Amino acid sequence: MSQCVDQVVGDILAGWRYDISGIAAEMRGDYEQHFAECVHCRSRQRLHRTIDIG
Amino acid sequence: MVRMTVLASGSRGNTAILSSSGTSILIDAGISCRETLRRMLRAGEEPSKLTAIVITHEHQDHVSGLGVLARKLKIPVYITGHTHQEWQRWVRGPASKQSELYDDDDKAYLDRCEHFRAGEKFQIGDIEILPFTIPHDAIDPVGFVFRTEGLKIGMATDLGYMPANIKMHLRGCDALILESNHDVEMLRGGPYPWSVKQRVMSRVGHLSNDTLADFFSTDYDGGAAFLVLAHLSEANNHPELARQAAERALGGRLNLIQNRLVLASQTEPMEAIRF
Repeated sequence: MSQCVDQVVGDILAGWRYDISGIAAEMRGDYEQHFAECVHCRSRQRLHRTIDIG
Repeated sequence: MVRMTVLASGSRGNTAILSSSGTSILIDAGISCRETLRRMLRAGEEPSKLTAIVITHEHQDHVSGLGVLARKLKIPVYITGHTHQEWQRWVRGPASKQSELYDDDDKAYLDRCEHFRAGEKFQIGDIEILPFTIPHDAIDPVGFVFRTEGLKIGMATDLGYMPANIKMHLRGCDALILESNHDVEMLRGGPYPWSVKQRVMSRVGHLSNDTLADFFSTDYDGGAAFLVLAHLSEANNHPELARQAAERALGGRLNLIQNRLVLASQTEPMEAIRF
């Protein structure tokens, strides 16, 4: 099982169900960087988006 | 010992640290959390010793790393009420209905937030902070005068001109961090659209090298040990132009003990000034 590479940012994203689309683009830097580096959170994000669409 | 370090300065992000013997505050959080922590370590500052974050205004180059940084370091954020509201609006984006959410779901939630008002002193540890209004096109922008261990440090960046009340606040400082944003000729002939040029040159825009030089030659009391030139435009200024304008204005008052000029950079932390 994968683990988040930065639990503080991961916890913030988990609270938002990994959805940063509502954040102004200029403020997303830290979160986009985290998604780029964290397999765990990318996978959770995919899961949540799948549930949303389903 | 008091230390002041500018970690990043310019339109791509601003953040600085002031540390006394017992307190360490971050002024603005305009670069990512990761980059802030990296630059702090490079500058010899320990992130775990930060006591608080204070915010000047809500423009993205002053707050883009705020949310993550405040949560990661678990420290309070000092901000004016209007600036806080405007930051929340930015973070939440235009389509949100945050009033329907619990705190943990709120993208603009801060664990600990203290509101201050321009003109009213407040204290963080052993640092006394006096915020004062500056003329800039934000909702409630402020500069700061910090007092600690018998020293006075003034900070005013992002201001369209230098009103009398700011000149008064900046009297008797041991260090000044002031904006030297653009060379007027470079701005006029530079790549920005005319509307942006007008905004930068306006009385709620940014301070030019010449306007700062005018302050140095006519109103500055000459007593600071360090003068930090900050928020230099990468497109419309050159560090040497800013330095020469300041040097000309300071004339014979520049020496090894007083008025040492230091330039803050966008890309790397400035060498700390120490008292």
